[in-house]
Amino acid sequence: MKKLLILIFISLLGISFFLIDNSEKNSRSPEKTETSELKKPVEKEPNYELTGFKLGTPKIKSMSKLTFGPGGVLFLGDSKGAAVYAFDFKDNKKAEKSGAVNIKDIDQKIAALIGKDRADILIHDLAVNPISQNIYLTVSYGGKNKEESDIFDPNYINDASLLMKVDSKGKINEVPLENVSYSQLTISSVFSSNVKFRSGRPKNLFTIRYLNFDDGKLYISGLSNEEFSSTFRVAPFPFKGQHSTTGIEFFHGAHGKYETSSPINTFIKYKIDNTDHLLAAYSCTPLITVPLSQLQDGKKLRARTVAEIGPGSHPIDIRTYEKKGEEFILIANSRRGLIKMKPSDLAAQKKSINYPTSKAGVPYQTLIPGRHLKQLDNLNKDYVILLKHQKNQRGFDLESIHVNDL
Amino acid sequence: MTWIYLLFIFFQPFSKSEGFFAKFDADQEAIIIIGLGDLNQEHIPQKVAVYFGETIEKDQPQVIGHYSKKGSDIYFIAKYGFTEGKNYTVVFKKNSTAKDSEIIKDRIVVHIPFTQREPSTFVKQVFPTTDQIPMNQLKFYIEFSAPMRYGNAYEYIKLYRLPEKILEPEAFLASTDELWDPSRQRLTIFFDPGRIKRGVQPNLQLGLPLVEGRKYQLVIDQTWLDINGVQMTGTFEKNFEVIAVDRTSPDPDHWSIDIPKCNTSKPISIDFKESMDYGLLHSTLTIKKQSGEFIEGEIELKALESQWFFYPEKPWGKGKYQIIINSWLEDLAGNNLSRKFDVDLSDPADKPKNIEEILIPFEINTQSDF
Repeated sequence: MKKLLILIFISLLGISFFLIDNSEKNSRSPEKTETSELKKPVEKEPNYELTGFKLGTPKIKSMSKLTFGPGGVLFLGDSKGAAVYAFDFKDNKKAEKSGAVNIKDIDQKIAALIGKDRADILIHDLAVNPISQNIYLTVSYGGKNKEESDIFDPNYINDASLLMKVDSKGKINEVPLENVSYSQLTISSVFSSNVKFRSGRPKNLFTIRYLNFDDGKLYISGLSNEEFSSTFRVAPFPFKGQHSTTGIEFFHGAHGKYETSSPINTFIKYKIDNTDHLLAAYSCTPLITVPLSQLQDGKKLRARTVAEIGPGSHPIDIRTYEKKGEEFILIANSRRGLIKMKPSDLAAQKKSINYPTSKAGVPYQTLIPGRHLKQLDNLNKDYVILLKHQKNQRGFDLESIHVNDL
Repeated sequence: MTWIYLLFIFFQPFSKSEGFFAKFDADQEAIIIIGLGDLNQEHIPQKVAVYFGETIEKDQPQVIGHYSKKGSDIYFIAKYGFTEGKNYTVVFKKNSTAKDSEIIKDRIVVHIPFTQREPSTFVKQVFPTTDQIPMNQLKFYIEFSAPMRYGNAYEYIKLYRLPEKILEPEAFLASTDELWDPSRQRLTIFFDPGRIKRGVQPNLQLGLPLVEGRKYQLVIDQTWLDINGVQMTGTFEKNFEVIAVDRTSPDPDHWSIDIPKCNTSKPISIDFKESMDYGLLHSTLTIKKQSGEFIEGEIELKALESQWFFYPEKPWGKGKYQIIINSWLEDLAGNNLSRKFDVDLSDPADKPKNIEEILIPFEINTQSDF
């Protein structure tokens, strides 16, 4: 019996030598995992009461914008379906460190995951889960089959239908949306699909243009079918089935007139002179402020235009960051790159710009010039993350920048 | 005892690289992996992986999909389908518990062939449909029966002068961005506006692309590929004659409007008395009730796009309505309701009217006549 065991042992050795020998023929390893994970006790965010959530499969028509709420809840805008979904993926394990995430060819990796060419996919939005630091992306495929033109908004081309999650090690996974815990907010007074822009694109592409969550409320910019179609909606979260609707008008220096029909492209809640404001940017590219207290259901209000960043460009994301104890405002723009504003300069702009001009108001500093930015978010307290078009325009990279370098 | 050892060596499972084989089955839309019959269903995901492409990049994720066992074969169905004309690599990991550097595998590259498709896509129509085109015609819309492939559109669109069939080069503005509708079934092509606008360099050097009194043929070539990479069913030709330049803005005073009766779903119509821009007729007109509510419905164009018909989704109710026409509605030569395409700055009559919208109020009564 002993002999038999020894023989088996020898034969196993034989196999393994054979296998090792064989491995040399395969030079590249597809499954290269990163260094081992640190096992630390998991810190959890305080429990958030998620009322109104149910288990099921939401009928999403067109994914677009993303933002995170309390306890790792992900909000997802569905413009064509006139709804915002809140998902509880239980992605609420606190990240272990404030590291950088840099992934070259992120589009190619996502394409490989779904078995497509990189030229066949579009990344629509990016949001970082502030607790886990996992990066979520909305993605579409099949909308193009040639090199992408420098299109500003992928939703012009296609409806996103996939949700992807990228972890700090760069591992990409699809987030399935079948049998998930979710709640839903229906957006009212929306354009029907046959009302179109001059370009022929339906106006309901922009029912939801941008999302942000702050202090128990989900803020939604977009369009409504009302006379002031530029609309700002506010809904308490957990959803109670309703949202308020406020029309916003502003003076657009580059067009030399008041405008009521463009949606706010990006915004944040921001304190100016110790009062909560909405700090928002439109295409072409005025920056406006409105005291949040003025946002009332059914009201139409006039914002203060505090800057004109220059026509022919689109703001993508506004964020703030702290560098050595001092706060700054960061704006990603389709043509002007990554720009930085000082809060004191913003606060000093007391008067609204009300005359024709294409560049005026709050001064800014260009940190990264160029036309290759697609997305911006805070990754953690030390880094912001960018989705960038590669210089040769082939694909996209995720790139982290330390706040001290901004 | 030696024979047991020999037997063991002889039946080493999966030790040879030719131990398995994989192929694509078009009917099942699956990659079928043969020769790994000893694997249990639950072990497949740890042992077998499918990657997009014939080389596997560092950190490349495997293709999402479902593995199932049918007899001794393993079927892999990609969740988002296989891409035609591409290669996929099936990898068999012999030792899934080993450390990275020791993962040992065999691979087989599977090619997904193109499906042989018969041509089915064709040019449905070119707008304007009229064969009398003003000398300063601004654009054409080409409508296809199915989505087309993006890029190189101008290789397939040619303008010839008749009867000699001489090619008119550089007639169109072959911009790098092709102007497709979102479904990629309608392409807008512009005559070079620089050749149309008086006094600018292309106009001075090359003149207008179209000359009054001449006949032309617009040809859209059959070899243009649709989204599936298949040629069209035929070449499309549109013959037309060039008439005098149009340098007048459409005038709402000359239009006639036909108002339907209450409780019917009959259309409201506008007769513009001239062919208008096909695309803009679909996006610049809306109808609103006095209460502010937009009326939904379908648009139909008749009489060479000189008449616009709007069929409401629900029958017309009694009340006051407005047709709101955005001032960027154009005629064929790009003259819109506010300004002409080509303005003579010294001529006061050419001054833009600076209007944004034209409102046409109308009322639907219970009385059958109005």
